[in-house]
Amino acid sequence: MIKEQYNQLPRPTFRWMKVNHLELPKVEAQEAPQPFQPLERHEGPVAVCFYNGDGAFPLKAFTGANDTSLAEVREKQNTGCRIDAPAGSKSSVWLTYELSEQMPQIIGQLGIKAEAGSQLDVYINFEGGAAAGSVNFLTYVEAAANAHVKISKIQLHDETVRHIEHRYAHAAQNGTVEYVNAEMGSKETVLYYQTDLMEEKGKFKSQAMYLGNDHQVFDFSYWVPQQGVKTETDIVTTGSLMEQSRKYFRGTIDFLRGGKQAVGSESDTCLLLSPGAHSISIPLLLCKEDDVVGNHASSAGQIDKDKLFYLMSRGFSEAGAQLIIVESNIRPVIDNLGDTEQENKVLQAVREKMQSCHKKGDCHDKCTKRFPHID
Amino acid sequence: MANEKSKINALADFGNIYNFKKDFTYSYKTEAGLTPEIVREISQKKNEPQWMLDFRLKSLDWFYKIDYPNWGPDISGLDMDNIVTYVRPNAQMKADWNDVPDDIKDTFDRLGIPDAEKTSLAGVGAQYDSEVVYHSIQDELVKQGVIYTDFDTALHEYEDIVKAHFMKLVPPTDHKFAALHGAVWSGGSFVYVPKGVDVSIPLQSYFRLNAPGAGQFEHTMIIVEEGAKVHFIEGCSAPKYNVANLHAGCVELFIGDNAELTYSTIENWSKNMYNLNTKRAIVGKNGRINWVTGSFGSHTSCLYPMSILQGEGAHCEFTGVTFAGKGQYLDTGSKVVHNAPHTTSNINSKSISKSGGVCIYRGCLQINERAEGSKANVSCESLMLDEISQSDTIPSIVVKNDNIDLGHEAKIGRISDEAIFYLMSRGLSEDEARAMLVRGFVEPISKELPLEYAVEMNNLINLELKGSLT
Repeated sequence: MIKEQYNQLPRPTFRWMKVNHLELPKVEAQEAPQPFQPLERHEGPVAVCFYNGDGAFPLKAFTGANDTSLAEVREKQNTGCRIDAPAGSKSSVWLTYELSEQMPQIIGQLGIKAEAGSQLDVYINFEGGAAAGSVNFLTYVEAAANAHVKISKIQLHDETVRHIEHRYAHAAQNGTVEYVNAEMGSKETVLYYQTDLMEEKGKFKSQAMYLGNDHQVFDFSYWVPQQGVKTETDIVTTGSLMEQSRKYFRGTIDFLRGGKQAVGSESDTCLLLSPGAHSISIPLLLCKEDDVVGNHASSAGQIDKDKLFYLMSRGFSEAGAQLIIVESNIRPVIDNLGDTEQENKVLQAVREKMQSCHKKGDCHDKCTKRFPHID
Repeated sequence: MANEKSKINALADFGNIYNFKKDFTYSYKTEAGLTPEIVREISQKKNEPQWMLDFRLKSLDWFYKIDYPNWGPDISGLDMDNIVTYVRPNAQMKADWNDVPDDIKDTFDRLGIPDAEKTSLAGVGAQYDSEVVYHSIQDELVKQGVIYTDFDTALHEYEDIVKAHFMKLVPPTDHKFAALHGAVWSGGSFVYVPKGVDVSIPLQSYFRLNAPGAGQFEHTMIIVEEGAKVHFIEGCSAPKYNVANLHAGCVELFIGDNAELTYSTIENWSKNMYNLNTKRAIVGKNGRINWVTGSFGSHTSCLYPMSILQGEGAHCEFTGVTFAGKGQYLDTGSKVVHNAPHTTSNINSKSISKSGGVCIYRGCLQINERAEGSKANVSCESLMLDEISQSDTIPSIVVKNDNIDLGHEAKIGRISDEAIFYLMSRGLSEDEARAMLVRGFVEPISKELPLEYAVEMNNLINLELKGSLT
């Protein structure tokens, strides 16, 4: 089987660990899919337009991203959208990309430009599914001076889908780029996010949550070069894994020479709910500037049995107690989506997934073993 | 001011302890480069059994087959065709310093080894270029069955034990320089501590490479039987030459059930050295490995001591400091594999880079399916002393079991201006304040060493900081 490499680490490490990139089976090239237009609505003085053809974004090298999927998203896209927020404006845009058997493939581009001093919130839903469905999506974000761009994304595809997303963002002086991700669906979710903070006080914030079951694979790759003075990065990834699911976190905060008084932090927290689940974490800090503060933290483990015991002693079933703990771990991210409809959809998906797991008995058996006197 | 000058002079004297050159004399050396004939020559000179020659030749095949690593530092300055792999000094191995030739004895006198032996060591081994020239052990330990000898002697006198363990933990197929080591190894130490014996005073082996353009490939094997305990100290240095030298040693540590080994290293190779060393330990049930590592020297280092926690309840403690100055690229770290239930590990790494030096922490922590109930903690701290240096942290954490507890944290930064200001307000000069803060930064590591070695480590740090103090 031919395999393709995704999300290559900017600084590779020991080969035997097999963590330098993600390998996925190659998907045979398909004909360019039928044109597709997402559901759209917006508020405020923002301009939203759809286009055919390549948006010709001035992309920097996506070092480490998969070349084939990058080429595909530039040459075979079936949906393109441009969002322009005028200077000083405040706007919101909602976009829904839904897969179906009639539209099993979405190859999309999204360009976002927020002019100086503007505030733009973009809510993106990826939903639906199709046998052998796939999404290959590229987003290009420009936040001008003092602008604030927030992208809240929920991904609830069926578990037959391969979901690949590339994002490049540039934050100008005092500009902020903020991502909130709720990744629940798809068989394989591969995210490559690069954000350049080359100008003074540029900021990048990212919060992502995931909940994996079956054989789902989540691969989060962040690369943030920081060369502007007083730039800030804050990356938080948190989630839970059940059954045979796997999560990769590759976060690279890259303090470049000249980026004085820059601050960067990244954290990866993973709750492991099944013996077959794997958590792989490679949080890199690269530093060529002394006047910076960088830190990363990574943790993995089971649900705190004291918490579980307490909740069960208060009358919750073990399934209910486990749900509360899992939910409390990811709830700060969900609450930060900023859109009630998105939040409700994600919470519903979380609960359904947890129930599904419990019905299969995996978690139940573990809890019973751990607290036989309660069950 | 006078006080600072005398401190700087004292540091210069301390620096000379390591960087002095002796005339390059030898009784025999191979041609530069690496061929089957050279490997046969080395084996023949050592009068080795056939199986070892076969092993060497097989390793050489692997060396040719395996690619250079593509993920670490640039080692293109290392040309194996110019490296002399075996240099036999003008000396036989002795058990009395008075029998060691004067120029070699003078080398180890200046390094303080005979003095340390008198005051704080239970046994000493001293290697000069490719061969061990001195080895001794206290009679009391011999009576308890402890074996501490050079590796060539061990190969002949304890052949069965050596054959059963040699390069079993670090197979020649592991990587290119492990294969190289398997082909041309020479010298090193062999330690065997029988069941239940507690060697309360440390053993030390010191490795000195005097020959320009040569390689040192010593093999260290330590077997600590059930319930036994020992502390082994390894020191290494070399004078600086204008040609590349290579160190590709190999350390294999076998720690039995309920046994404990502390392996301390103060490495101060010269700044023309490629230090591509491999160290690995396997730990039995409730056994313990403690690594204490200070890396100061070499032009380029790749050094990641690995602990395989194979027995239930095994523990690894790693405490390391790396200091990279001008022209140095020190890629160091640790690897831990949890292979059994309830194993625990605690990694504490600190690095300092200055004057354009590059420090990389590269770590690996793997908790496998069987390691139910394991706990691991990793902490990395990096200090940048100027804006032209570099410090990277590259950890990899793989967890394949849900019933574990893992924490990892890393920090990069510089010395706080507030702390310097405070110390200066108490009467210290800026340089003194800076040096004091750096010493404080590495204090958790130096306190793990015996006093004499902690002093040596502090002196090395002061020496490295000398550029900042002047």
